[in-house]
Amino acid sequence: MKKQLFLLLIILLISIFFGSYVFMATSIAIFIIIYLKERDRKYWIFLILAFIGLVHPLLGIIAVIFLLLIMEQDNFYRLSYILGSLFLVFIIFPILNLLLYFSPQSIYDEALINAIIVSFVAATSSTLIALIFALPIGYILARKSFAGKSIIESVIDLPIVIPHTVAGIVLLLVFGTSGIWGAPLEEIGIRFYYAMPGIIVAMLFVSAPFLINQVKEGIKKIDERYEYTAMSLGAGRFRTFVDIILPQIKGNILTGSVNSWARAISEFGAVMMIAFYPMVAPTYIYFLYTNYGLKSALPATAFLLLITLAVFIILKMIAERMKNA
Amino acid sequence: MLKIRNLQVQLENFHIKINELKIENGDYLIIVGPTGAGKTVFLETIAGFHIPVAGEIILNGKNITNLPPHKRGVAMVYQDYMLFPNMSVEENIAYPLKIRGKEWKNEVEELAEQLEIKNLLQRYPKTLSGGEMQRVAIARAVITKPSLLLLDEPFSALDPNMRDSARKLIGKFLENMKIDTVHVTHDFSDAWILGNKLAVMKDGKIVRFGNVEDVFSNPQDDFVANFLGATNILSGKVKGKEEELTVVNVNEKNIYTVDSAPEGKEVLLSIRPENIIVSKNRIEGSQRNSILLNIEEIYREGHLIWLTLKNDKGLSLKVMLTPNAIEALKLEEGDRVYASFKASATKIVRVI
Repeated sequence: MKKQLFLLLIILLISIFFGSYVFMATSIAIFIIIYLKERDRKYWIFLILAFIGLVHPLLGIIAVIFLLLIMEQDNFYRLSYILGSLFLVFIIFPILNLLLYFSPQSIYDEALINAIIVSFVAATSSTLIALIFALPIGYILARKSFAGKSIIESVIDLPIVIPHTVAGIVLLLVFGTSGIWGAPLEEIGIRFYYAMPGIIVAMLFVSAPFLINQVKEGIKKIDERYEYTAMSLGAGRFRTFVDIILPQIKGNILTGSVNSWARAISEFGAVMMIAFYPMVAPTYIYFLYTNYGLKSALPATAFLLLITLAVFIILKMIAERMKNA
Repeated sequence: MLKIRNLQVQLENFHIKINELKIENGDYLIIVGPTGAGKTVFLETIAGFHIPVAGEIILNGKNITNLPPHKRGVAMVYQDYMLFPNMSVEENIAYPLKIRGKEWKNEVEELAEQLEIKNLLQRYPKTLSGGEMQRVAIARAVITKPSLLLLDEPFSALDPNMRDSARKLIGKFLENMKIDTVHVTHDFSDAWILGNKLAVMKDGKIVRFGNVEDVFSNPQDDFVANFLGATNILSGKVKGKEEELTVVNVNEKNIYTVDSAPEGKEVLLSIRPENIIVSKNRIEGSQRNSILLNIEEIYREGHLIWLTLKNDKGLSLKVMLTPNAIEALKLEEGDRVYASFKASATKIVRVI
């Protein structure tokens, strides 16, 4: 059971915040699982201590600490486990807490569904566009050393550090209806301000670095002599890239795409600056919250959270599997 | 046929300068040299991975100096083989033909048969042993019958007891394929068993080039002599066996060796100069070979003294001694001495 200790601690600590009864139920379940496996009497003490949680849920911490003390003997690990699980509770509990407000009724909220569709379409487009540029940029950065390389690498990371509202204004200035790129493009019918291309551009700006860096790292790990060998066997540069490099970095491409897509879907600041309409999901949540208050925003928020979590977890699993294959 | 003239390659803090190198059709060139001499970079330049700043590379009469690697018809095999991990053995071997849009099934099977890897075709590279990977890499490199094959230390990743059998298999295979080969190595046995030409590289230059026997027996250069450990090369004919030892007739003298070779064959023997004992009277010891010779020349090189010994039948040996030994023996040019060496120190390096 020692292997599951970290997980058990996180689950127990989270259950505390759902009240005495949830904590008790969790403790009893964990006790049964451990006891069936290890048949050690000291776990009875844990169960008895857990009952103190009925007085006040926060007192449940006594039982949790006791479990930690009997299952892990190394003080350094004890401290690491407790601090680590506290941080994870800080991330997981608020998310679980929001999901309590989930209601299937949200499916009938047409504006929400539309916003989610806009989000998905825009994030997917921005990820595909990012991929077209990430492959060559990643290749150059992985293979060549040149003047100003570290500067260029910093520039690629720049969108990660720029505050997103600033990024939005930066883009609005050039892609706006009278912007230096926006004006001529509008004449040929491509409008950015308050339009889908604007959303995609904003998402691309903030999310591309994740994909570029993944591709770069992937290519760096491939011995350049694989390419030399392929070329000496008669493959041209492009053929070598497609036959030798791409199959070996598909895991990186997928991970990078998932991260980049996730970053795009979660973007609010930059997108809202350049295109409040058509609304992406985060904009719609913000709109509900500012116009109708927290309570009205909760079901839609929970629904959005659930969908993004589900998609993210599934994609992440596929990416991991491909990386290990 | 490969001709290289005034080739200069400039990499970051590394420089190669090859004034002239020429190998004929059917040649198997071995390149040896200390680590950092530029052997691999030289191969990579012939393959087209580095663009030279000056000079030209001519392959079968065609100037390939500025051709991209995939248009040269020069196949490269690296020390760690570089089998594509995303392809099966079959796909790896077929790859050069697939690129050219050619039929590959029969060719792959034929090569796999010859190299004894037919049972591996559906496996993936990471499941293969070093020797298997090597044979797959060779098959992949030669399947299109390239004009030139480049081998970068192909045997060094194998464990020593596998090296001999691998060398024999690959050597025979390449001989049948008749592909001109340039082979970089640290192992002098490669030169004896596989090569007919030998080049010694140092600091990006070729300091000695010639037939394998010539370079070993006549290094012409202190560095080459030290590096190769200049050895005596004698050619003779196998007379037969005598108490487990092979008797080789060299210039009418019988020389005994522990190595074996078929009777009647011409062989090359190698005896290292430091393994020869010089004495004025015949010595009683474990040295099976003892030959009376004249001291032709005594010369000093660094801390060592070299003797050149000869007889009137044309037999010649170089011997290395310390200054103390010369003094103790009171040797002078013109003296008649016995050169004695063990049968175990006498190696058959090539059977002709």
